[in-house]
Amino acid sequence: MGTDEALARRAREGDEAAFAALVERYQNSVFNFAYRMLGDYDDASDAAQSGFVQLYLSLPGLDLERPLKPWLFRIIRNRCIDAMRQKRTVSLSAGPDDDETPAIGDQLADADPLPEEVIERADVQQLLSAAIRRLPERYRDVVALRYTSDMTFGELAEALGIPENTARIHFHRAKTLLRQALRDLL
Amino acid sequence: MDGDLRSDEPAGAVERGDDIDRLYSRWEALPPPRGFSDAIMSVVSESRPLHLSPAWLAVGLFSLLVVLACSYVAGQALVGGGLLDLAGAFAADVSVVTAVPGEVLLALTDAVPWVECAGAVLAIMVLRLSLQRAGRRVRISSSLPTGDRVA
Repeated sequence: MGTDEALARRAREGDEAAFAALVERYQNSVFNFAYRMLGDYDDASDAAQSGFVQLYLSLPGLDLERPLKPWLFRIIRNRCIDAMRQKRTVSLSAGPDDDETPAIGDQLADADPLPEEVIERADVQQLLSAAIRRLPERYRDVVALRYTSDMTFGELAEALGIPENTARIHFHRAKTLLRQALRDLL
Repeated sequence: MDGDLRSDEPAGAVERGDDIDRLYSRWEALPPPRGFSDAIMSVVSESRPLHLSPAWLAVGLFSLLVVLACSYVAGQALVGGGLLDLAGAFAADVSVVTAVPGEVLLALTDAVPWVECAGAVLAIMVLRLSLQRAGRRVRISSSLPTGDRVA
């Protein structure tokens, strides 16, 4: 299939199949990152899709000597931040948007687990997501990226536009806050 | 305590270092909505800029002029060549057509301005082809917005 950069180069030359391969490669991690950031299935889908389209439109000016993955996640993160700002403005009078979040248990593509397992698993998923959403923005994206995208700290730092050591410190701090949040939630 | 914090390996590639890492290793990935990538590719296809080819535009413009000219000349020839008179005569007396069909056919054949009509048809075909070729979705060009990571 080729490296990300090779596919991006082909896509830049007009090869739509190459871009489709890139979408295929990253759609899961990108979508899940957006979902962890936004906590809303539809918003995450919109942010992820528009991020991919922006990536496509940005191809002509991209420096493909540098890795593509952090750049892609950077776009998605910016889209998520835009969406969060927009939602914050809209929901000032509408109350918390957690109510709109669909039950994670309903969305999990799974074989046929026992009802108790579904509930237990859904509870855990809700808990993990809720804890992330309690984090301040700068910690939330570090954690969401680290746990959804399989990126190294170097890539993660590039995606967030911060030095690598800062990313590590943020991640460390985020874990402490997560521990606290999970304790509160339980 | 900071587990894989010092690791430069991807988060999923290492043994989870601490309680939080282990807990979040249970964090399940949700499937993207159905048709997620198709929707992206459909927008991407639409986003490709329309490239106008000057050469084909020129051919199109020229063929349009030829169509107009040929149509005008053909129209003049149809009237001047007596085709309308013949049609009027056949309409007035249909029995002529059945009585001497061969002559009617020859008369019509003589009256039709074949060259002008053929010119008009040919020019229409060229016009159609040039319109197809003049505006087509092409490779993305460097005139598009680039975001903040540019070469």
